[in-house]
Amino acid sequence: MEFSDELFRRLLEAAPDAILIVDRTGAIAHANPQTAHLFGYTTEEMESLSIEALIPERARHRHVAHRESYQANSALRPMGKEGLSLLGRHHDGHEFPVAISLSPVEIEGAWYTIAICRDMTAHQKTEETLRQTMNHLRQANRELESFSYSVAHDLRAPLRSIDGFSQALLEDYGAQLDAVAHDYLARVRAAAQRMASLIDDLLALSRVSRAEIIIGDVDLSGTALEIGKRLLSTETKRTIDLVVAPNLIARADPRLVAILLENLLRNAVKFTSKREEARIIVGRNETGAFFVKDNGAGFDMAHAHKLFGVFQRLHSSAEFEGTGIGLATVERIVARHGGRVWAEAEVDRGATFFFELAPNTGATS
Amino acid sequence: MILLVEDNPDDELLAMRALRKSGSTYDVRVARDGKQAIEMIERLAPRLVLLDLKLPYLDGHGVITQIRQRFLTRHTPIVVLTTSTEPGDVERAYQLGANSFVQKPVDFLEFVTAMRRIIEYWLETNRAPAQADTDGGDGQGT
Repeated sequence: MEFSDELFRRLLEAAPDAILIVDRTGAIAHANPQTAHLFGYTTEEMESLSIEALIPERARHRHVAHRESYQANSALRPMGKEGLSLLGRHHDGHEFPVAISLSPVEIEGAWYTIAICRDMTAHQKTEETLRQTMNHLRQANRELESFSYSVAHDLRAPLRSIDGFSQALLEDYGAQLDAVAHDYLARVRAAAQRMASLIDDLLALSRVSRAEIIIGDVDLSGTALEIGKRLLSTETKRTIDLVVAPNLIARADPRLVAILLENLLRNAVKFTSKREEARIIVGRNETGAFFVKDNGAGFDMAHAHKLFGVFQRLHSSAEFEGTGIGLATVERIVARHGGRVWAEAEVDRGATFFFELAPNTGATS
Repeated sequence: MILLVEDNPDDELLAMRALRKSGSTYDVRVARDGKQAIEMIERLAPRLVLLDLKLPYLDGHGVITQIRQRFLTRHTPIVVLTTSTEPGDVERAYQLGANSFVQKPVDFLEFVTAMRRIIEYWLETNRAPAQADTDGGDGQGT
């Protein structure tokens, strides 16, 4: 491709950045319309100026020295890390941040420097806003963590009293109480313990929402097996068949994935509790979504939209105990990874919970 | 004499009950914060310290450190009373020199088990608490 003068001229006029051509003495030989616009001059005015006019007075001296050393040692200086971050001076006197890149060019036997300038005012403002926002968020997060922890702690103290004294009552005065009184006390204790679980789950949920995500390669198969083994070890009264597909790997935060699997597997174990032979499968489907499938109680799909809300439960506490926060936690974890979670089920035929830990781009890997 | 360090009156009552039920005949005194705990330990030389981790002024971990730093009490058995679902707190207490822990609200069976462990430790290491030790060893908790 031949670069004709006409093409060159057109490029200069059309470029969105300010482009100047400066001769060896620092005089501006040419300035494109964007330069004029950026610095508040007309192009004719610019071509009678030296480059130092576009720089704050206090920096001019230094700039002349730089320019002369650059002439001696010309090299392409792009923007970015090696680019120059300077202040430009507008015709009306105000200063603004600019990023500049320089390159030498020979025109008709004489050496010139092409300078391309970009106004960085908006960029700097954005950076500053970003920095401040991040600081605010970090601060808010710290306060929230400390608040949640105090609240959880303060809420647990009276619960301890309720549970502790009910138990003491049962143990020390049990003989003097009839069956109804025993029942009442048992309910008081059960309620206190339930509330303790709620507090723990809410605290965990709030931590999941605020935790910093550290992405790595997660061995989903291994994690599922570990958690499964632990959960199954306490279920001695029935057979639970846990099948985990091998080599399930995900790019995700390992701690959060462990919490997610804990919640889904715990649910699977719980809702298959009425089955003689429970079967839980962890795998991956053909579109790449992971799933945890059980042959338990299932649920009516008509209520599926309520599944992941906090405190939402699709079964009565008489059938299955629970705080209704487990799935909300799963949803929060999945959302933080940019993925999604959904379920398919049939009443009495079991349920399958699918999840993706990254935005689905259609590729499976 | 047993020193109970606990700032919550309900927890204190439940702990006292557990002690009573476990058949302990020791006199029990109560300190309500870390500073008071150290002061009473120095003055009264308890044979056993039951210590809540969350206290005003000086927290449980600080109290353990102070107890272990003092020559006369460096072997005094310390049982930590923990509400924590934070295993880290208990772990840290062990590292600083606690001997055992019991979950709150204090269940007297758990308490008896914890006490048994302490007694075994005493028998094993031949150390009675708050006795001047001449061998200079520094056996920490189990």
